[in-house]
Amino acid sequence: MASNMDIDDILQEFDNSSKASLKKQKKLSSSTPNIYDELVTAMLNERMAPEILPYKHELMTQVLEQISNQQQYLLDSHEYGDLNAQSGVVSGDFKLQLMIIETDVERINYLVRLYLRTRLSKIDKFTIHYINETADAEESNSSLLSREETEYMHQHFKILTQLYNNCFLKKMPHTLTLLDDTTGGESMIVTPDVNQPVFIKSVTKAGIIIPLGEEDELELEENGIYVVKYSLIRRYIEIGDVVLI
Amino acid sequence: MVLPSHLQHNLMPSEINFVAENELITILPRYSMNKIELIGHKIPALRAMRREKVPIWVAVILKSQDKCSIVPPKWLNLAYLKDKYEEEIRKPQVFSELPWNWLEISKVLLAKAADDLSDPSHQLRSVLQDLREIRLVKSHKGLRELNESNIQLNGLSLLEINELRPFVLTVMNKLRQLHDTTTTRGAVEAGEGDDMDDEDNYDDEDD
Repeated sequence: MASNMDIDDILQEFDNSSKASLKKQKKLSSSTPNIYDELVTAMLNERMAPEILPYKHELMTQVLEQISNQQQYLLDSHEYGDLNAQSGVVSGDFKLQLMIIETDVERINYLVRLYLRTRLSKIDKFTIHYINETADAEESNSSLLSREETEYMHQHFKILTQLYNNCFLKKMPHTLTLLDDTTGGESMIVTPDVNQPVFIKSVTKAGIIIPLGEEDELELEENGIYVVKYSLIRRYIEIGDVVLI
Repeated sequence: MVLPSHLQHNLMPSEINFVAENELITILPRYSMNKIELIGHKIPALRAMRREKVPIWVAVILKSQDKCSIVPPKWLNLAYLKDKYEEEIRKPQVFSELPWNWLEISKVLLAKAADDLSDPSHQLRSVLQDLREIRLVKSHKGLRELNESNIQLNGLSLLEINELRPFVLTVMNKLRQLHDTTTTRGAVEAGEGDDMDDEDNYDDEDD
């Protein structure tokens, strides 16, 4: 009897635990936003933020890997299709599927390009500022710029200074030739204006309260759309409670 | 150079269209098809007459090949939209709740799947246009409320926000600059301000 009970208990337990793990899996798959949506959000955030946001190292490695996987699959399938074209194995359905996959790759490609272009445009604009910012940053998975971007930034700056020097700086008095002059009350380094207003949407259930100065504050409700200064909501973008739109 | 300046702080309508096409929509397949693994999204195996959810862009491809019909979202019919229109008129201060990309999705569906919609497309178009116009008027009226620190725009869709953006941002930036100069100078000019007040009082007494 006792042993019977034990077995029942064990079975029961097993049942429960497997159900629980199933539930967990389901929850995981539904709660982890897919990388496509993540990329769209990253692109929109980058597009609307006045300063450059930390590079999405993990996401980009994942996306690029997936793209090359899909492209390899497409290549293989086309080869397979060419080989079997005469025998009639390849159905129209198969071609349609390939077309959908191709479109998907193209769409995500476009998003990646847009994301990187937006970042490059900001690097171009604020070159000296970001050279200073990243001067003592180590290369890691949380750095502001990717390795390629850092390289690009330095190359770009080098070419630009060379051009300036050759065109006009060599004819100017030496004291006026500094590109990063901060004396005289006016800094020559172009920095992003973090107080610029931005359009945001709050996506967290918990209300966020942001101070507006002079004892005023604003509570952001879920799904509410606001226009506020970028500097006030900067840290909420990083944790993903707020998205720029 | 990398990104033309007209793209830098605003989105193109075509880009919003692109984003909207990622939303899911229910389709009613006419044929079966194996499942497809896409990046970030899996299209389940399709079986005839079994409803499935797929991204709009996939639905449009399938539709163009006559492989499925699209089940219109529950807000895209005359009765619902007319209701919303009346709500807009009843409440002049708030925007009624519409889906985040209602303009884009209705546009895509009207263009590509007009035969799947439950109402004649010219009627739908006209009520959509009415809705759009009344909301446009409202949002323009709302511009009077612009200030330097913040505004709230609940209920507007992405495309409508995008239309407002260039104007709102420039105005708020200017107001912010003006505000900044007044706060930094405020302390210095406080004394002068008092003098002015005195003069005003003096005038009043004369009258």
